Amino acid sequence: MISLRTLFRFYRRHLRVQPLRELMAVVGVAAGVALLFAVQVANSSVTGAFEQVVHGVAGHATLEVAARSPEGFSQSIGEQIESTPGIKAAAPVLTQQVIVTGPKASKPLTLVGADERLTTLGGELISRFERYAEVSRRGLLVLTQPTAEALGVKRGNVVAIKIGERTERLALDAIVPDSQLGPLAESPLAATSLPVVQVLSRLPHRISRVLIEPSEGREAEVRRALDQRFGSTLNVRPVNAEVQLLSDAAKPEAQLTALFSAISLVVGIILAYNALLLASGERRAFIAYLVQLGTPDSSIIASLAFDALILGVLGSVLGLLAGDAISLLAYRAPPGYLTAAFPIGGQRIVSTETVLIALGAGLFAAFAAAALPAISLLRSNAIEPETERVVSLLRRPRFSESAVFGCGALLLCVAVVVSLLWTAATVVALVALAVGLVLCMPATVRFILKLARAASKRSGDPSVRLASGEMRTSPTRTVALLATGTIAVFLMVTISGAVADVQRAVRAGAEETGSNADLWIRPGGAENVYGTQPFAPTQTQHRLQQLPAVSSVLAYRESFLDLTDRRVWIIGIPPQAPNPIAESQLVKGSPSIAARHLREGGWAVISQTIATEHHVGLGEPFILPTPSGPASFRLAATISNYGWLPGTILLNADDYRRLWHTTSASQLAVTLEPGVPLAEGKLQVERALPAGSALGVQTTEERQQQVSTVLGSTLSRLDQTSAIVLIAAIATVIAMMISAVWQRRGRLDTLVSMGMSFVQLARLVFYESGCVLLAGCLIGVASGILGQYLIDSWLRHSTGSPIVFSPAWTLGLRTVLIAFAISIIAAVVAVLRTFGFRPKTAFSTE
Amino acid sequence: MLELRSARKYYSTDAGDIRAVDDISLTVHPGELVALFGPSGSGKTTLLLLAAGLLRPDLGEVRFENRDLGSLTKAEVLEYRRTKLGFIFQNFNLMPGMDAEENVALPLLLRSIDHREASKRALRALEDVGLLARAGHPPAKLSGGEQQRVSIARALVGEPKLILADEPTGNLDTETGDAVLELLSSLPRERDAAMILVTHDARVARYADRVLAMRDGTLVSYNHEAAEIGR
Repeated sequence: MISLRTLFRFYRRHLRVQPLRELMAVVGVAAGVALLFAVQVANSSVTGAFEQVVHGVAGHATLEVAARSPEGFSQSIGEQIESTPGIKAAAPVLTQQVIVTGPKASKPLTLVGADERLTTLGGELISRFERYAEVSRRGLLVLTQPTAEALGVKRGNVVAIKIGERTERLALDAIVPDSQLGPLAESPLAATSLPVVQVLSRLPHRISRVLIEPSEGREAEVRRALDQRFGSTLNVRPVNAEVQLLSDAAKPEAQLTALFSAISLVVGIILAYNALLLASGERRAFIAYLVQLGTPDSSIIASLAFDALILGVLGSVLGLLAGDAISLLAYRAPPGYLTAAFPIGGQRIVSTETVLIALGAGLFAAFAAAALPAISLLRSNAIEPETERVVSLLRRPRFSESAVFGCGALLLCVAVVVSLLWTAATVVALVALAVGLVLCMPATVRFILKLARAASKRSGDPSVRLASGEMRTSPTRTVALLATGTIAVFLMVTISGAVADVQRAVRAGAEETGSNADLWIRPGGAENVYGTQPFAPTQTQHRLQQLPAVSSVLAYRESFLDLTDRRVWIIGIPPQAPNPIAESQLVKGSPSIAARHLREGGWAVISQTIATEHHVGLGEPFILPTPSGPASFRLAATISNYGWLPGTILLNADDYRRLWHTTSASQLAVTLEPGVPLAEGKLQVERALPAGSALGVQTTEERQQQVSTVLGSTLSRLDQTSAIVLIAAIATVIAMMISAVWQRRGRLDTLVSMGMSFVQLARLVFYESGCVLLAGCLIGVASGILGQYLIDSWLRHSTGSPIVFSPAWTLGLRTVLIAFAISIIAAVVAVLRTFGFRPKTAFSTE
Repeated sequence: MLELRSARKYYSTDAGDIRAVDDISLTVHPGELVALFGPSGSGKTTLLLLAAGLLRPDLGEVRFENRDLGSLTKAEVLEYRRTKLGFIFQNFNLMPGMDAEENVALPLLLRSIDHREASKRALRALEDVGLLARAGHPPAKLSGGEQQRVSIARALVGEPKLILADEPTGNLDTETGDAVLELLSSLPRERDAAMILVTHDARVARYADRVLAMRDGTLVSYNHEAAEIGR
């Protein structure tokens, strides 16, 4: 058996002979691993870190009783909950959305108020906060180190806290260092004592939830008892229910991430395969040498496997490092739409599982990429000199070639049909589509070669004829180039096209929902995109109505409400609102009838996904769990998700006020008197707000812009990553073309000897690379637009977004231009190469 | 026709200058076949490259039809190679993705001759070398001798005034080599063209009008010993 030392020597030899090729293969695998790792980390971080926060706070608590309203429930109910038999320990908590401002910046945070009872639950996060916040019970604030650094505050400094419509001030008691919190240091959390939050939020004796640790073996009993007694007005559920709600909200993004990961792996294999192709001649010569020495097949296979192993390990390690950098630089910020409803920040959770998946994928990519050249080498007689294999266009395709094409075409058809008939399987179908495309490449190349041959026969341009000939001379390289271009463009067009469609839908929705007023007033800054933070509106409303420029001020009441498996957005629309339902978002029902019903009260408009899930038809009654108990509504119409993926429910704002027991508003919609310029009206409204008000005033256009920016960030990181894939593919294609020019230097020298000019030579390389890349781009654009259509349908189905399919032709045109640019680069390289023309490669006597 | 006047070409290396062509004067006339022998490194290829205008002499002149190649512009040198020269290589250097006819037509297409006319002339050239029936075959489907004959047809199709043949029999067996030499030796007189044939093959002496030998960059008188050295 061949020794490890010998295998190392062989590899060292390859490294010495073809360092660039080895580097390119490693980079190819690394690119796939990096993309896979980065998207996995980004995806698992969102729910992983939140889960850690929940457990870090809840400790041994397994149940919670949570309010259905942001204004919480009475502390006396909390005491009743705590006295339920079977509870070992319980801790009340009040959480509020605030904006903390320091000298350097402002940050939206979730302010957690608790007392010493929370520490008895043994939550790790709480004990760390507790250790650094001995004096916090006196009413001071505790922040994490990254938050304090971002705000530019130190212990003892006073920070401004915007809560509701007011701005309060609080001294900073302690900063919990990074080392104590690990990845959770990035969580947007601040802590202080329960009474302080109650005072700050003007919610005296109110709490948001009670965390419960049942006595051993009595969890079910406790839950039943709590459910019976409090279940009608409060949510009694496992403590990690919010993690499930977050997972549900992030599901479409998570599934697209999975799709992206799988296609990244395909890209990695193709890139590595391309690199390995560059030196197949050299490898062949080395194997011939081994065969001549009498080396057994098993040792040759061991040598090839060892090469693949080294390639896989190096590529994976490099990929992990690059992926880590990508996830740090590009994926740090969580999706904007999720931060509005869950306390998640830029924390990164890198689990062992994620690392192992990336490593495994890297090794798989390396072995898969090395397998084809290795099989070809082992099947042929390596001792015979390698002759250039020219594709014969006359012979019928071999059975194996037809079978590969058949499998690819079948996979393509099945992927499309499955995706159309069973929308939920779209993600898997798209991976199958990508694999199918790759399998169809050899036959496609054959077809392209036939076309090129037919065209060249009619052309008097020697460059055209030579380009056609060169493509036939190196069919494997042509297939690899075509596959690289196709898959990169496919991914780019599919993802970017779908992202653009989602963003367009969000913009359209924002435009329509914002058209009910000229100005919008609400707390919470830019992140409060769903307008779910309550504030006391009466004084402000009264002041504004006195302004001569103002025609009307309507109070919108909005919040998130947890149904069993989804956190829905509740919008209480004032009956006076001119257009209570955005028509573009309407799925079923008449807008005028639905608007009339909403104004009447007792009716609701709900997202189609929720209506379908609960089997509710138009006009039929359904029960909504509200803070005052189950309330019956009738379905007036169904709508899209209104920009909140888990779904939205529109109510009459008066119904909301009654059922939520609140006089608070979450937004004020101001309509100006006719003829009042918008800027002047805005100025008047801003001046009318009390000094130190935490409320912000936005014009409809500014609001639309904000909604568009925050909600549009959905999927946008995948958009950025697909651009990285395209760049990696471009780099590979350029490297391959440069290498191809180098490998055929003998032929090029012959042509120059015979009188071929630099212009003719440049044209030859341009036609050759242009033909392959253009074909790759066109196939990529066509399949990408198909992929975009399928993803749009899936997103429409799974999220209820009114996404309108708009083919990404502009993007397609851009990729074609990129192909054109690459071809020019290759041509320039060829000309530069022949500037250093050495005729000896054509002549052979010396 | 082709005249080298005290031509000199040295290559600089770390070990010092290599005198590839050292003060060589030579005239080759139309219809003449000049065989050039010499061991490896004697400067034969450099002499061919000088004649082809692919290299410029450090000193002296290379003149073709009384024009100094050193005084020509790049475009004129390109034109010279396209219209006046024909090349025959040891490795044939046929384009593998093109069939025999296309390979032969290539020099004409490089000169922007209409492709239909180029095709006609290519077929005629293939007929001249006895390969008309193989016109549609790619090089990989041709034997070594056939490939060299295609290569000869390609060199002749442009009706060159000077044919530069570099070891044309180097990759052929004896019988095929003889056939190729028979064909080559008839060309200069039939076409009123000059030919410089660089070789190690002693049989070539039988076919040549003039036999020269090179050693260390200089021309020496040919004898059988020189041929043996070359071999």
